[in-house]
Amino acid sequence: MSPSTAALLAGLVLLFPLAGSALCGLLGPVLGRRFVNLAGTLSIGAAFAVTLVIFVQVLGAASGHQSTTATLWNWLDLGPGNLNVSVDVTIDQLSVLMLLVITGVGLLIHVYSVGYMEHDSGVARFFSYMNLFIFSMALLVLAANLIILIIGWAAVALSSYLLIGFWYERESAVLAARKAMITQVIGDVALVIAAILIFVNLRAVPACPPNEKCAGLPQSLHTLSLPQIFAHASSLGTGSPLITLICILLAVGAFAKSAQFPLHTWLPDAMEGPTPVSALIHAATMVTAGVYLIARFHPLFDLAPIASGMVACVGMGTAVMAGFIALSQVDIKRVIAYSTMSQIGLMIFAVGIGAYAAGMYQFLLHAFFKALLFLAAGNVIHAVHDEQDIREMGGLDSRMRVTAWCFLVGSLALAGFLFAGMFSKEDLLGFGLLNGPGAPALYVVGIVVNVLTGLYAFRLYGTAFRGEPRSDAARNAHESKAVMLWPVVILAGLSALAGWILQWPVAFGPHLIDAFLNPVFTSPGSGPIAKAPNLGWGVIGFVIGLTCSLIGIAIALRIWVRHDLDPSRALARPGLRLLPRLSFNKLYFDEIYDALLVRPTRALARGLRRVGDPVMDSWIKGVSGVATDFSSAFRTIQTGLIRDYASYMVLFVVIFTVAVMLAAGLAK
Amino acid sequence: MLSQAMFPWLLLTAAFLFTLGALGVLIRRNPLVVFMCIELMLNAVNLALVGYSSYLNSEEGQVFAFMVIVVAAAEVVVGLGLLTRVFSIGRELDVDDLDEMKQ
Amino acid sequence: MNGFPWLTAILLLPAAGALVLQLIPGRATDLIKGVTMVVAAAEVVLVAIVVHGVATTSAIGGGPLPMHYVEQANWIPAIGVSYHLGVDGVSAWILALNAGVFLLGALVVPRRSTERLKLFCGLMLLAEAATTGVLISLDLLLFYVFWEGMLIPLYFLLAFYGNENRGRATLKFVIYTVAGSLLMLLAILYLHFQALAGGHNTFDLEVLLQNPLPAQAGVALPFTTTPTLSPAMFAFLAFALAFAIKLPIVPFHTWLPDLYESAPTPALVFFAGVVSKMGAYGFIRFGITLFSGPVHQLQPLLEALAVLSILYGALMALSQTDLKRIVAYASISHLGFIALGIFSLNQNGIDGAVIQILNHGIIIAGLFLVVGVVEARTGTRDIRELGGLQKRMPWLYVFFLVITLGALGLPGTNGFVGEITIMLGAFQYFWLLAVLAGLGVVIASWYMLRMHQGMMHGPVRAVTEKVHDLRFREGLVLAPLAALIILLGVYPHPVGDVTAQAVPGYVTLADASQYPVAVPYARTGYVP
Repeated sequence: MSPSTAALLAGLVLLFPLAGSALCGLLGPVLGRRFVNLAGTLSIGAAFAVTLVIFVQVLGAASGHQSTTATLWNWLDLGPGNLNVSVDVTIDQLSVLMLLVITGVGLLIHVYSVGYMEHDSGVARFFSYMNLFIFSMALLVLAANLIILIIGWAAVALSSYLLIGFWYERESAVLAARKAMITQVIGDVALVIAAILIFVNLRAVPACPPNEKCAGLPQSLHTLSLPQIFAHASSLGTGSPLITLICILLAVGAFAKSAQFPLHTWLPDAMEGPTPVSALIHAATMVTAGVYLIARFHPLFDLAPIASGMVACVGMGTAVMAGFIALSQVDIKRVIAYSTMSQIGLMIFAVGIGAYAAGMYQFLLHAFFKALLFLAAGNVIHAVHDEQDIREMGGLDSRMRVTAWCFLVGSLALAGFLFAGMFSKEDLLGFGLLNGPGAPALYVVGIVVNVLTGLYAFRLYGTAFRGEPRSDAARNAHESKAVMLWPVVILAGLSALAGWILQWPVAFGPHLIDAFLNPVFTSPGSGPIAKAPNLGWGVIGFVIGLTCSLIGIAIALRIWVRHDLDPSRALARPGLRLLPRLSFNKLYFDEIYDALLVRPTRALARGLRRVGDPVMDSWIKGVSGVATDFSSAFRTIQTGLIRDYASYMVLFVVIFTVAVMLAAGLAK
Repeated sequence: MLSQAMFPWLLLTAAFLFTLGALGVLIRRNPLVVFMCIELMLNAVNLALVGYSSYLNSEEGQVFAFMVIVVAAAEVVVGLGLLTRVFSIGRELDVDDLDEMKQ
Repeated sequence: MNGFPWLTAILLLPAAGALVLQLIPGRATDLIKGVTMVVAAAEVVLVAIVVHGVATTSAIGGGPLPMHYVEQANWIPAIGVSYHLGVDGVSAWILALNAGVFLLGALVVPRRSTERLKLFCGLMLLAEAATTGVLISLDLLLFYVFWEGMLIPLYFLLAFYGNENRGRATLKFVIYTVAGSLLMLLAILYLHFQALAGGHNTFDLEVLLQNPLPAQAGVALPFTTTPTLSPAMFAFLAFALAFAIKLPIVPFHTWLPDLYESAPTPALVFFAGVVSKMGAYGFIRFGITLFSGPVHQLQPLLEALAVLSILYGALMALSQTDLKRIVAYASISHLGFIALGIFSLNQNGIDGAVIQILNHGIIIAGLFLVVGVVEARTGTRDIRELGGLQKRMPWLYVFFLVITLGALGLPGTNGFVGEITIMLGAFQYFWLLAVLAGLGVVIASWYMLRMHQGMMHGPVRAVTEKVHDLRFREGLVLAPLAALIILLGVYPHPVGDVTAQAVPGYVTLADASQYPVAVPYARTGYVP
């Protein structure tokens, strides 16, 4: 692909959603709902079509890393040695895969939104924000300059902020939006500082060895262009504190976006947004941007084993933690939100151990089945009149047949049996056998995640869809309209089939994703990627993983569908009594952050307000006090009468004259 | 040309006029009279300036005298304007009555 | 060009406008407003021509700071004062900001409510003439005349037209600024006499720069090897005090929130958008160039104060409930960024500072306009009483959202451009500064969203029940600001280009290699 073609195609992918956003936002309120529905979805459809063209071009090209970088315009140029940034876009296998999901799944969600937002008066605003989100996300994955990437990164945060707070009259939505935004800004700042570190230290030669002075070190390259950074990544040192620090900062940015510990608390609250929003940004695309970032910066992470190990541990830790919390949540969307957090933890784990293609594979399939789950949940919420508590549902399988079946497919895909998860999750866990810090320690944690996933997935399915209805709303629920069903059905089809077609764990079937993506991660300049397990280990790993998933599913079915197993007796034991409380209260993270960060900052601010300015003002009070004392001493002679003033004048003239004469006399 | 002998007398005259004016300013209560007394003081100064100019044979004193005349004229304009204003709002013209400057 | 005195024209136009206003009867309010706006618009056009000229032509003069559009004439030859004007890449965009923000301020002057409209507009125009003069003077005494001249119309604007708290605010403002500028006059005289001793009877900046203060013997403080308490140091401190008060840098800032709280909106827009930038401009043009030695010795302290301003302003903004005070402290925080950039004394930092001067002017003007609109509609500035405005004022919401995002420095808006460049410059001086500034950015997102959401979101409240959306004219004022915030965020190149051609001269002047650097990390960056 020539750079000009790349610029054109990338420009179109960016332009369509942006134009859609502007049209919906500015003209939507005037031209009405039909126009908005049309403009909002067609723009994404057009972007998807262009993406397909790009995809075909990349597929049709010769093998190897097909990376084309093009400059759109010059952003800032402060002269040699100083900040200079141009708006570069890059098209390669990785960005195409991301774009396919962003625009493809995005299109389905937009179509669904037409039905979901049918009765909402803010539909123009909604589609404007949604289009803006697609634009931001496309900018993020296309960017070939770190600053431009950060701009896309922040634009994603902005559109998620707008969408979370879409129902702005709800106090909880407003606070959730603020929380999400501030968390994102923390990530932004981490990225900015990482960018500065790279800018200052990136050189054309390898870094100086430790414990040497490096007097003749050449000027740094002073660039933030991603191809340049990757080409000269080794100049930051291999395993040096510098590159570790840079990678940790990048990872902090990724954690903020991907809702990983310790920056994860915003995601569950973000479920305040309309359900399509949750599907689009909090499941399919936005939260996976962190995974993309680490995969994109693989040349750096390859050189920073400590940072990568940390990333892997955080990812797996978050996976377990979120799975644990998901077990006891009662809001249907929050359960899915925590499952998202958990699944993304697995992806982060995968990119942390260098299994980038496996991580992206999980991203792809997860986008299908998680969007499916969210949209199906949206149908449920619609059907039971905005009730989100699963304790008020039940028995929906006979009332919403299609949705229930699709949800079942999604749950199976999530739990990793038969469908999507069985392929992608087992694939990436297999890498954990041989790679990562203390391997296979994290693999062992991973199979615990498998159990937990099966448990909460089928707890959700069982409670919401099986049994008897537990409320009038659930009793009177009925199936959604076609426009809200078709996207769900398509996503169910994708979740069910994609794994079978694309890539099987170990070497049993096709390996299309590896073949497509691995050239990116093995391109010149990259470090070693994760070792795939050999056939024997692969089979063992797969069997253990699948068994654990099945154990989880089986236990869940017994507890929440057949009701012949009651966990409450087991959990009443003294050692375990705390667990349900911890899980239900999300391990008290909100409370801890509130006590450790929010309250002290507020208290400090209030204290400064009371003390700071008054103290710094005191000198001016002193000045004015002296002036007041001085003036009050003289006020008595200020009678306001001209004659008095004239007398003073004469008096002083006389005194002055006499004094001058005396002085003159003395001088003689 | 002023004779050397007359110069002290001229200064004395100027001093006398000045004192007269100053006393008038201090003693009289009618603002118009006060104004006239101020004019008297200014003209006393003018007399002294012109006298010195002649005595020292330099034009500078005369130049200053002209300046003083201009300033005095301007001052009278402003002052009379103020007085008319005070009068027109129905106040009695008495300098002891006008003590608003205190506030 | 062609020898036309462009700078004299942009200097005299507002002043002439103020004079013309006095010929109009006071009751013809439409005419008064019309003349003011025409003058303001004409000024914008003239300044646009000048900025375009700076961007497209090369600078004149082989001096340390090449200038454009130079005009030079004797003013008071006896003491070497000259009428020396010039503009360069640093002042060009600030001039544009000056003219642009003034036009917006003129557009929002209320027609009926202001009783003495003629005086108001005349004072505003005089203030603009003075700030223009500050920006184009290349003679220290001329600069000082405009610097003080700026104070007079602003004082009257505040004293006559401020709200009920104006007494205290005016007093504080006058005490602070007069205290600062009198010392600066002494320092200017000192510089003059030093030059005189060297055979130059001059106040001219270019001549003074070519004949720097001799490295005199002074008293060395304990633990230092160089003379710290030198006359040059005291002269710098005198300048620095004046600029630090105007900027303001914590702890010289307490006049600002009171002043902003009581000033009338049109004057406030001009005040916050332009006048507070004069301190920053003074530091760049005079502070770091004339006194490179003392600046380097004090660099750690100055940078620390800048970071203190960022964090202190941010925390204070977090705890306020009055909209104007929130914006005032946010402004202090943002101006801390500008100071941080300047005192990095490297090109990224100073470039970023100039870019941020322009961008912050745009943002803060927008914020105060929004606050003005909301206060006029609802009668309150208390954030606890507001809410739900998004429902009632969707257009205001759109503009305010963009302005808020600019204020919290979201990448993609103009606020980010300056901040990242400044953070880069600060990092190149000492890495911790950039990290602390980043902390300031995080708190900024907190207080800006608190303000934005508090006003816009939530249920409609009693005071916001019956408000109507923006009128066309108000939209006309806010729309260009919002557009600029985005435009300069996605395409800051023109600004950076003009700035970057001038800044190297300043960096060279500020780089006093004979002075040992106080901080070990300085100018090395972080190289483990």
